[in-house]
Amino acid sequence: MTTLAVSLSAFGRPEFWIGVGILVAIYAILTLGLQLNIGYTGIYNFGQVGFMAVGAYAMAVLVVEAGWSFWASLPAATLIAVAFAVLLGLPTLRLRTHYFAIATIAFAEIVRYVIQNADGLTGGSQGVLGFEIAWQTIALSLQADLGLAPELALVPLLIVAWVTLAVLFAVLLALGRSPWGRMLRAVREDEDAVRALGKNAYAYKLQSFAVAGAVGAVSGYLLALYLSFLSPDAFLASVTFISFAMLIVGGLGSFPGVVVGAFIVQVVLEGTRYLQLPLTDHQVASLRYILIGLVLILVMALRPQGILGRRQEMVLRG
Amino acid sequence: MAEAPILTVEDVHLRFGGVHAVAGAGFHVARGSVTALIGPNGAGKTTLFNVVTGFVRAERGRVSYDGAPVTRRPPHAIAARGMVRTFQLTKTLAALTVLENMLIAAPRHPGERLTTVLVRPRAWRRREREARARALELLDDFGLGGTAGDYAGTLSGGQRKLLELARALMIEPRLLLLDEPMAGVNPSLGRRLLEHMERLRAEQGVTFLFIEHDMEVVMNHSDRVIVMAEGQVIADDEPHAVRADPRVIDAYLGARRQEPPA
Amino acid sequence: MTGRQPAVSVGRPGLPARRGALARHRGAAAAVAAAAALLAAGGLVDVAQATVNGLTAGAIFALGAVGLSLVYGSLRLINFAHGDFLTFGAYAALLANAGLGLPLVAAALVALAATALLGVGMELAMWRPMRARGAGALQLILMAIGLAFVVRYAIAFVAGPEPRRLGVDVTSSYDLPGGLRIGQTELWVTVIAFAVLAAVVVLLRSSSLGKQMRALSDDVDLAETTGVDTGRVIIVIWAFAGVLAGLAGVLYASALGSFDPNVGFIILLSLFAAVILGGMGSAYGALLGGVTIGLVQEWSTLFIDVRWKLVVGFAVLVAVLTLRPEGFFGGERRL
Repeated sequence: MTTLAVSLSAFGRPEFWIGVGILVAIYAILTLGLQLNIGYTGIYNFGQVGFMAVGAYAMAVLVVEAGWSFWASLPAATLIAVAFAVLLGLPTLRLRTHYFAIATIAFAEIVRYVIQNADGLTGGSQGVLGFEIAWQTIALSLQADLGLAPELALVPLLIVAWVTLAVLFAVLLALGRSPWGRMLRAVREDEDAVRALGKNAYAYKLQSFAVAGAVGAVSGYLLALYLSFLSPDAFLASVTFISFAMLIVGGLGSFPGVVVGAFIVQVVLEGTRYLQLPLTDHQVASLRYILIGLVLILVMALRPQGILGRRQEMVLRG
Repeated sequence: MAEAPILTVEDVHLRFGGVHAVAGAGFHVARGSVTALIGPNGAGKTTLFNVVTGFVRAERGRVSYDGAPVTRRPPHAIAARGMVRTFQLTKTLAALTVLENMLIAAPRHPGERLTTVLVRPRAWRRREREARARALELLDDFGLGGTAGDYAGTLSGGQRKLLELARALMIEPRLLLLDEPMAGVNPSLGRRLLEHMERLRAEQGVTFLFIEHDMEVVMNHSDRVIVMAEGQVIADDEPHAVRADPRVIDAYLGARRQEPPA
Repeated sequence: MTGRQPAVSVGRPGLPARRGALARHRGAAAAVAAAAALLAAGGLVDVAQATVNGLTAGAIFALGAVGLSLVYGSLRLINFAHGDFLTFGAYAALLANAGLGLPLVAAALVALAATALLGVGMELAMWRPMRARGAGALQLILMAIGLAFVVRYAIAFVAGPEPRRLGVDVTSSYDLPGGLRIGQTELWVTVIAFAVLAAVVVLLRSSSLGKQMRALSDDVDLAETTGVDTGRVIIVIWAFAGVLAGLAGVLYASALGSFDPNVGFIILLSLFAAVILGGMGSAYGALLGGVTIGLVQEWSTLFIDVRWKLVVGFAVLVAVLTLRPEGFFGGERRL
């Protein structure tokens, strides 16, 4: 008879929490964009990981291949991600929700495939290295200033990640509460009603999509710095669906819920690493995805508004 | 007619999967008038509204509003110019509050532009205050003042009709196309709606074109009646003339013969 | 309420029927132009070989796509787990064949039954109760995706990520006239797939059950008013979709030689492309769409490197969605 043992000592180590903290911030940023699209605007963006990939790789390629400075590459790569969002959104946002969802999934997969196969530009499966040198100098000096021990080397990134999250959170919260945000919610409810009142529903959808693209790109930069190495495997479709799990656990329509959901889901995922079951590594990895699948099913079936979502604001309609 | 008509519809044709929903409809609507559009079910009235307001593209025909052609313009552009329609099944935005429903209709609001909100976060406060004041004023006019903070989804059917009309007025329309404004509304509420319409016409010169089945309303409250049947305009005259028109009687009787028993 | 839009919605008008002489001429002209381009890119032999490969892949896609389309048509549910149904079929056959020692044909039949049970089971356990509660599109989509994860990774958990093989002959091949070559297994796969597809067409067209399935897939409300027992037919549709998906999985795994838990998911987007190309909700459309996608992907290898093959399928998907979302072979008329 096997007993379920958890290696609690892992939870005590600071590196665990720093790693969790960074990933929570990265995923929360990614999911903020998803919330704007799904929770506020009612457009089913299932390709959010694609914008993460576009941002991260555009930055890496600009720095490593084209010799740009890291800091200059960030706004440029963000613009590229926004351009992708606009190009994708223009023909597809007029489609019905299901079709748009499929188109966005296709977009994310196309991005990943292109990254994987355009070896000349992106290094393909071999990946890209060396884009974070500028960041590392800052990180190292911060580490020295703060007198951090070597195990805490990632603390500077943790700080930057959470500051970025805080800034984007504030921005999106303000956007959500503005008249523009009100229009997004109106579009979510009934596009034709919005048009009948003289407002261009399509334009609002496109803008919402573009903002999500930009936010996705930012999460990509942070992921790149965390991994120090980019490969197409970091941008599988499952990333979007993990983000969805975080979105619905936290609650549709709630930006604070995004952070809560990201934290809960990430801790559960990371926690499975430390289960001492007689399982192989692959089985533990499979278990994590099974958990994500169960979260998606159970939350939608039993408590669709998640933790902080409001039932009235729930996007229940088809 | 002394002035140019505010709305001109010419030779509109539209097919829906084999059915000739609108088959060559045409008429004028005079400024400041109240015109009723009637006809048996399936005559093409709502479809015509959809064409006129840009929600559906006709195969043939021309529509002009206030002297300018609007035939292929998108619906939001037409509404922004002052030709506003309501829907047969009210489109109140259930998950928004009553006040928010009103505010989204406010025209020329800088706070609805993404760039403004991001770059100049204070620039829209004044317009928002104005819009709120106007919205609350209109809600009070329609007796909905107390519901401003409620979710629109909690309103009764009659209240939603009023909200839809109040909301349309936020745009300061010059031509209002109402699709069955009296349907499902109790008589006292209905009287109130008519009073509002009369006041708007008298004080602001708003023109009305409404689809209705309630003959009492049509006969007693409209200057002109247009009758549609099977996608065509078969009569366009003053109420009492239309009532006696044999073609109109035929269309209604014919339709009743074909309709399954209620 | 399944959260569907009204039949005549305020939106785009019915697109004028583009059938008739002009359409036929346009289609024929396009076909001739395409053939000419193919022959220019590779010789006759290469084109013929790619066509043979394309038909094999296309028949498998068609089997997967038909079920997907029928489910969408009747339930407005995009079964994101459909690719994993294929995987399930392949692994069920593996279990029956390698694990329980059944001969391959019997193992395949077990796999078909198992996948049918999976589909019906999910309908009874998940979809039906959710529909009864008025669940909206987003809830259903996310649950389908969750189901996909559970099925795929449960298989990975139990069977491991290493590539597996069904007990099929992967080395012998037949030489066809003109220098063409087809693997023995691939030939069987293609023959069986097309035979089953033919049977599917006959079933849908002639049997009363088939007609009911098509009626439901076309317009649920209308079908109900004409006395179709929708509950029962929906179960049949799921069983039908499950059988076809399971078969597609077994055939695909056989044709590939080796397979892993991701095998079905990898072609899911190609299946979507097939369904959309054919018109969502049209079983015949999905059939033609599947064969078309298979052919287009193989023919594309004459022009571009083979590693871009799947991207071609995705690109077709995006192109169809952009240009003609209602598809080419019938299916949804309203958008």
